[in-house]
Amino acid sequence: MSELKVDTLTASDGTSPVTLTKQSAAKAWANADANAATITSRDSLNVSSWTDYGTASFGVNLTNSMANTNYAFYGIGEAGGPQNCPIMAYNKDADVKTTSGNRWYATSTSYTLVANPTQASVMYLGDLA
Amino acid sequence: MSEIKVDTLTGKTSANDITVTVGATVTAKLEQGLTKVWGSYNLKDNTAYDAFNVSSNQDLATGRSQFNFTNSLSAIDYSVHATSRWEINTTAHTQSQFCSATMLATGSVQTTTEDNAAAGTAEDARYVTVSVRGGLA
Repeated sequence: MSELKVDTLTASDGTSPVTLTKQSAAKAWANADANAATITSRDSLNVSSWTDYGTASFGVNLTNSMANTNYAFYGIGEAGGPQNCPIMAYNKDADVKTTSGNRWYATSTSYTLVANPTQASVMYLGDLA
Repeated sequence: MSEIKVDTLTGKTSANDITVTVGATVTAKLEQGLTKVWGSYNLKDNTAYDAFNVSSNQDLATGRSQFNFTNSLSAIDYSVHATSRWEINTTAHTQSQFCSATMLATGSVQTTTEDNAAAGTAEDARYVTVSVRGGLA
């Protein structure tokens, strides 16, 4: 078995992203109370801030932008216990999904708007700019 | 293009701290982007299809399960995602099911699954996935 001890890995051209064979890391993720007066990440990677659009809607803003808008993204929420988990939905027809983030809606399983989740988890997969 | 073949990568200064180039100029810590827990489960008979860093799963009630981590997260502020499907090996979209993650703890997380056709009705699923990103203890 071989082991490489190193602090920084950079592609050989000095500029390109490093390729991990048959693996891909998440480019952004965060956990936040999206129902707070001011939404801030409890913990995060590459998320600069959250935007509060009022009841049932909030946005995530990335520190470093994605390379394009074709990235995959996931959101999941809890609003107080296992029987109170709003859906975090995205409306592709009405909302702007940009390279620097997107807007989420909180809905019930019958698709009515509900309060923002107190435990909101988001994740973004794809290539960074 | 150059390639390094190696079995283990360890930070020289700090074991879990390796900086990689992830965009044209953007760098990030490799450890932060890696998924720390993942698994896919049949929660009708409580068996794992495949899993990473999950020591066991518990059936708490209809539509509720707990996944216990082998190595704990450092805090309860991690990012977690879960999806479910009532049945597997079918293309019927009516088999979709609502699923969420709840009751975050450093050593475990729970999922709740509900029947989409009867909103709010707890129901076990034959295919549930769960994944976690954050820092390990």
